[in-house]
Amino acid sequence: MTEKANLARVKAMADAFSEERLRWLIGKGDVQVQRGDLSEEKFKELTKMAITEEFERNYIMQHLSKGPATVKEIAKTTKMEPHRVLWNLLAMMKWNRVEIVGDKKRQYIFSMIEALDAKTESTT
Amino acid sequence: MTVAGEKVIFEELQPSETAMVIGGGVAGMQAALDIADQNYKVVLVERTPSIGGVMAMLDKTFPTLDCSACILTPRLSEVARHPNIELLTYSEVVGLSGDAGDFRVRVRRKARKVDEEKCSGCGDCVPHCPVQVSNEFDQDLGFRKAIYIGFPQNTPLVYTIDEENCIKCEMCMKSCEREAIDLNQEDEEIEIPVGAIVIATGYELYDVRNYPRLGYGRYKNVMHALEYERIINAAGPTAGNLMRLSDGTIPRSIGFIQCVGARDVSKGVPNCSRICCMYAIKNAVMAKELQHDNVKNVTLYYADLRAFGKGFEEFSEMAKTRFGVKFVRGRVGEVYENPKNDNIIIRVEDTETGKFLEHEHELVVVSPGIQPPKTLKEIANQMRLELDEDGFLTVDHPSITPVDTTVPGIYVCGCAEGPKDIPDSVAAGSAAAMRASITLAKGGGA
Amino acid sequence: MGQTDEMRSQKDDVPIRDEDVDREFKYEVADHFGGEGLLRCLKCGACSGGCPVAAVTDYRPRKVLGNVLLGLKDLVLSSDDIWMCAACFTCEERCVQEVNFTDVITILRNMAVREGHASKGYLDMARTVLQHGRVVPMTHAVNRMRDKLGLPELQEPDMEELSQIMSSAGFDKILSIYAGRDTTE
Repeated sequence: MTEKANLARVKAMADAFSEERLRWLIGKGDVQVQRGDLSEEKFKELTKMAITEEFERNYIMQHLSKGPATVKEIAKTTKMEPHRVLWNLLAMMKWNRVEIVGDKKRQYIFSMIEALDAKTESTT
Repeated sequence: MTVAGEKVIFEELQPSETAMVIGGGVAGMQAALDIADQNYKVVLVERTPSIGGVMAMLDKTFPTLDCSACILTPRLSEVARHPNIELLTYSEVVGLSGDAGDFRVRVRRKARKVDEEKCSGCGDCVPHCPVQVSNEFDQDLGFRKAIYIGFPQNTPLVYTIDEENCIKCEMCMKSCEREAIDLNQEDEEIEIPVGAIVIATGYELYDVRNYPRLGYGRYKNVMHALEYERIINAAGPTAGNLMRLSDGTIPRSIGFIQCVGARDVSKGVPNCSRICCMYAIKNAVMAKELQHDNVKNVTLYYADLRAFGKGFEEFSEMAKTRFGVKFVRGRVGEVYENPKNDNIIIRVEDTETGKFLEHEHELVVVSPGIQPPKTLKEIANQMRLELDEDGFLTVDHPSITPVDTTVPGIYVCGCAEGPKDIPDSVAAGSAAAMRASITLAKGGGA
Repeated sequence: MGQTDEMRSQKDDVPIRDEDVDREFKYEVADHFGGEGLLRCLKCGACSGGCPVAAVTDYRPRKVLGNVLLGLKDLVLSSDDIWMCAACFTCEERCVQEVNFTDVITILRNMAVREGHASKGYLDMARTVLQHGRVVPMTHAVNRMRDKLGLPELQEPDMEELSQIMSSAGFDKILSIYAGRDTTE
């Protein structure tokens, strides 16, 4: 069971790195540190934060790709703290990747937004 | 930007026909419109990237339960397209010289790194910015990028780059088709000649972290009133879905704590903030409106219920009878968290029965008092204005000249003078506009 | 004094009669050093909300102050309430009007003692101090524990010096009010 979970996490990390945000941040950021435009420690801090966020969000998306879910359900499978799951879901709502589709037993149900995504088209 | 699109040379404005309004909230906008409608020119200086003030952050107003943005946004566009109003957003006043009829105000236009004339507000730059930070407009509950607009009706509809967080990766520049981004833009200081000034700098909330016993900042399910407004607002961080922040569930019971950061001699804020009783009752009613099936218990813990205005008493009665909001007279002593479920337990004496209550709520909303903005002291210094003990602007005579400051030619409206609700702020805006117009008409004489 | 957490007799349910009201009482209390804040009280209840004694009994600091402000001198000074305060100072921390409730309670206790309403527990402590110079008498158990912990032996207080100080302060004169009363439990 844990191996399956670990594989899922590795996949989430891979997905995170395939997205524009991390690739540009790491690539361009490095250039800027060398140029002296950006301090080494700020770059490290930013990168750490961005990697954590993108990993967590992709991990959550994996769960959501199986169908809509509540914060409680996602927290259980991902073993993340509920407030952290919520925080990431709210960010994904802002960036139009998830939406709230209803509620049951005082829990909101979050669902992936099926969008025309440049990413899905460029995997070929 | 005026409709005609002609570039205004600020240094060449005529003081005898130009007024300045400092602060773009609802009071400042009212003052600006009233002066401009008389064919004087108005320069409206706003510190943040957009006009609108605190009213733009609210969801509903009391006692009518009007949607705040619905009544405010027509004003925003009226101000933006008025031929006589020049909007200087993301700008600060840094110095003043001269007298009524002939002031010279130095204004620093902070660099947004975006050309106001080229940016169309399309937002193509946003997905490419790699830096995500919390959004101050959403009381740090929501998100924005380093290049941002605070809310969808940002006026002017121009993006701003937050210099502190921008890493100059230039991803936004690459994606902007209109080439509106200029990362080398610098702050600019200009001197504007005006005949009269209206100060409408508004308010800030009292920082309730000064009351550690109320758990704000320590317990996840204690929030303050403006955070609550953003959460129930459809354009807010949760798309208007009422939830608590520890786990995103709909709370079954909500507690509202009144008189926090107001009427407290020991914290140096002895004054009453006038609006908190009413806005809390409005918030309590909204909780029931939005989720009447799930929210079973809404309780408001108050010291006194000050429902003094037109329609206020009826509104508070309606909250009790129609919406079932419970009222407990007692100033809350302290709260603590139930570690099993993150619920908050309020300890208070019900002073009407003498019973000691320990009420458990799933969400607690603290209602802070209001304070003058931290920038007001600096402005008062520059303009030789007097501040009263609470930090608000003193007027010449509170009964006879309630919008004249102690300096001739400078007027005040809205919460810069003292706590007040929206109708009173708008009335003061019109009053200050009239006083300023008289100064302009007389070339500075009173 | 016994521990109590059951509702005591609701003396204050009885209507207040004009004869019971002493209009000068609150000014009398406020005249004492530390009591000036009393007149600022708004009876908002913030003190009771934080009081640890209020959480487990029906003692309410707000009620005590309210009765003082109403002028109910006999009720206040003869009740058990003023002896319930644990002097934790939470109410002083919380009070929005800077009333300094713990100081007011101290004044009320002293007034009560002078009027012959001293609580039995305090009387016993006072007499112990007068006789042995200590609030809590020394016991063998305590001495053994000190020995085990390596603490020095407790010294005998100089009773002569102590009684001189106490009588010049008028301590024994106050206690003489209670001379005839039965102190056995």
